[in-house]
Amino acid sequence: MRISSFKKYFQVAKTSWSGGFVYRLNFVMWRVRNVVQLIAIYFLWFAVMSRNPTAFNYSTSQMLTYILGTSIIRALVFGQRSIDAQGEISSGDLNNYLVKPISYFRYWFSRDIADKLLNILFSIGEITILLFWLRPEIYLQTNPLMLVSFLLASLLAMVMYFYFSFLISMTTFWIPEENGWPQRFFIFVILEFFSGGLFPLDILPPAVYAVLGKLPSAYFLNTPLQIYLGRLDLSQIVTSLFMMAFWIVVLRLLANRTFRKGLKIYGAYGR
Amino acid sequence: MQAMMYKADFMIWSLVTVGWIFLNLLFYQFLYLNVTEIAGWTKPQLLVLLGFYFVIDFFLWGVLWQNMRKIPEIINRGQLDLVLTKPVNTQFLLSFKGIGFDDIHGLLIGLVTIVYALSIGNIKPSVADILLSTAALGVALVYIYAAWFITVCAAFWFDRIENLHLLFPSLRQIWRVPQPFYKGILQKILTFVIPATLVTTVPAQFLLRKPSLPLFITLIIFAVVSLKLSTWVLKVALRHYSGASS
Amino acid sequence: MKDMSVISVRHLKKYYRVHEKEPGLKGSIRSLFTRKYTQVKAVDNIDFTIEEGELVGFIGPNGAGKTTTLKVLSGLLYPTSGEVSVLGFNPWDRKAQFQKQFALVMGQKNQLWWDLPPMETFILNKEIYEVPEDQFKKTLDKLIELLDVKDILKIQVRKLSLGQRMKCELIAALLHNPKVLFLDEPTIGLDVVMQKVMRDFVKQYNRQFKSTIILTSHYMGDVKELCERVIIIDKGKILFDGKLQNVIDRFARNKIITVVFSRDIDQRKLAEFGNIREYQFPRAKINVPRKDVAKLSAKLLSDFPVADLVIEEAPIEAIIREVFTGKMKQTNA
Repeated sequence: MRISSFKKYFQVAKTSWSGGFVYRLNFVMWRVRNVVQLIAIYFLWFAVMSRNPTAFNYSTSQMLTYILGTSIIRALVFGQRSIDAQGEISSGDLNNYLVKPISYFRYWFSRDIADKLLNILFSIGEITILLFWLRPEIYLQTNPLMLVSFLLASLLAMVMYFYFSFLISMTTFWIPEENGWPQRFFIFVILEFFSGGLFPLDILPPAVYAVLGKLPSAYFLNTPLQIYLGRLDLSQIVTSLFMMAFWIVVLRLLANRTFRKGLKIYGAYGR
Repeated sequence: MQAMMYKADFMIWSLVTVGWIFLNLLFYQFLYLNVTEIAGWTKPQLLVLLGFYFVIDFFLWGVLWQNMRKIPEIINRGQLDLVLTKPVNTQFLLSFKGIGFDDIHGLLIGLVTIVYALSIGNIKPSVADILLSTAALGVALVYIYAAWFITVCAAFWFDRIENLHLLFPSLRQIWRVPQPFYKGILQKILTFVIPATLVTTVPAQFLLRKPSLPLFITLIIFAVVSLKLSTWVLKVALRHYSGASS
Repeated sequence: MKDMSVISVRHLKKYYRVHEKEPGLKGSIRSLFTRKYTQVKAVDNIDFTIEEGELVGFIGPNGAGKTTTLKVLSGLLYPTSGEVSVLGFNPWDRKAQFQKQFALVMGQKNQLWWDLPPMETFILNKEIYEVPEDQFKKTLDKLIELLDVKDILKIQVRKLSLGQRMKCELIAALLHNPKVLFLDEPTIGLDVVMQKVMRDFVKQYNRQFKSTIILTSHYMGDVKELCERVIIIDKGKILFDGKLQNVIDRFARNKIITVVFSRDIDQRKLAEFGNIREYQFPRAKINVPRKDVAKLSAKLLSDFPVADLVIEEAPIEAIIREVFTGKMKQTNA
């Protein structure tokens, strides 16, 4: 990207960032919802591990670290802003962007980045408070290779989810009802159970994990956190990273194709 | 009711709800594959709690939701006058007008889950237990209604909080887990300040023949106080509204 | 070096294959699997060219094809067939070079960020269009002055009135000095005062910045005020392309004589002269065929006690309405 192009998207992120502060109450409410969920799941697992300290092949510190970690990784991977694209497509506001010299994907990615940054900051703050309050044993990864892989995996997961989520948004080209929320909720439900947000996926029976672990959803939360906890050996890590890169390529291709196709039918309903 | 209008839409949303319930149940099943009890709660016991969670969810989304969602809209779009001029109690109108029973399968599955869990756990509550449990559920629902209503009334003072009506329901994650699981100050807060944990735990405890009178009484107190508070808050809000009205 | 028109449209057709869809979610999903297609001819073989600096009005009833044409010109829709060229570009390619030179303002669709002051959107657009800093300042200042919005730039858009918002929307759209401006129903929803402000602005902008402007409207007021040249579209076809005055000459069957009587008269006798549009003593309005205007006027003056007599064109709204409903045939007035 040329410098002038980069400036463009940087400004998008900047504007999005200031937009985020305007309704502090809204944002605080969003964080409250996240914290409440975290607390409930944390105490569920705390109870599980309290009398079964090695349940599911996890040490207590590993499990609790996993659960608390989901909060931060969620903030990075599951950015919420670009979900608004589905409303724009559904309502026809997309037209405003189509006539401008700006890439719609990059535009939303920039907005997501601003949003993710804010959420990560808050998440780290919340976790810090919880750590002081609850004082759980935490697993601290020290192996630099693991840490780097973890970071890499998280970033790849972020990009992967961006295209994945955008594909869901783009269903509104064909199914515009209720601004795309039915299909979005459907995906939320799937992700809640299959991405590793409620529980690490490898607690499932091996037969089940063999299948679920290969789905793209597993890479969003489960994989990066497993890497952090050192539960994957090097070959598994490399495989995972490759798979994620592969998924990014596939999803990106699909997203571009779908967008072009969607645009072709876009005008037909007077939007 | 309005969801019923588009029968097919209703079916699709139902699919999402049922799918979610089903996955929840699966999750709990998997949990107990590896352990036999969690902090003293066996699988049947936890499933009973989960059943109540589903039942209450039905009440949240299938009964109260449509109205609660509209209240901030009504306030912010100046449609409140239409409501105020009707010869029906305002709070009642706002809360229950056009009430329907969407997502009733949540209720059914919840009840089935409870019955199923009781049977596999070989738990046989007496008639008194069942009555008390139902009463406790009723009290819990009163509390939920009142507390939700109060939070939604914040729209009188703060306009343009998107999703204000989703603030209170976000607490539902809390009562997915039994009250004793929470520890420390957090447990005290979630029991005696915002009794979210009691909403499922107290009704479940009666059926499970492990009742806790103090918790039940706490829940009752909160239900009554919240209900009175909700009426009072509305009154104050309306005074503020007509004072500030343009 | 103006050997080609700014906008050139030849044999443009835009047909939609619309599939009938049951309403609701089920309908959408079902239509993914089975479809019943019908063809809608939104634009059916139209030709026109527009030169630099022209201010052209597209008028037609709803569904006539005006908005579709604008969308094709701005690259939002691709033509079924035909050639379209705007500023030498094929709009559907949506090249950045092209997009930087035009602007599209749609009456109902806002581009200002709702929760932020308009200034934030301006700055954003500046970056998107890669407008140099000094040019940005100059243009912005000029537009702010023209529209008189200096005081509201730091207020959140959602707190602005509709009129203020529309003004800022215009600024946001014009910051990059587009050579071509497409305005789709720009005065819709505005009160009379704001409509005038909008029209004055468009006229001034056209004059000062020499941009080429196409505006679509179903308000005759917009077109009357602004456009020398008018293109009448209905059912995807162009019915007329030329000076507004010529519409009258070509299509108007009647003129209107307004008479003011000085004494009471027999209304029935008046009816012999022509179709009485209005009668409220002492004033009457009569429709008379164009060719008979002079004769009938003279007769009125001689047969009745007339205090005043005025001859006017039928309101252009009525003329155009009749064009659409096909009642009009061209006359040789």
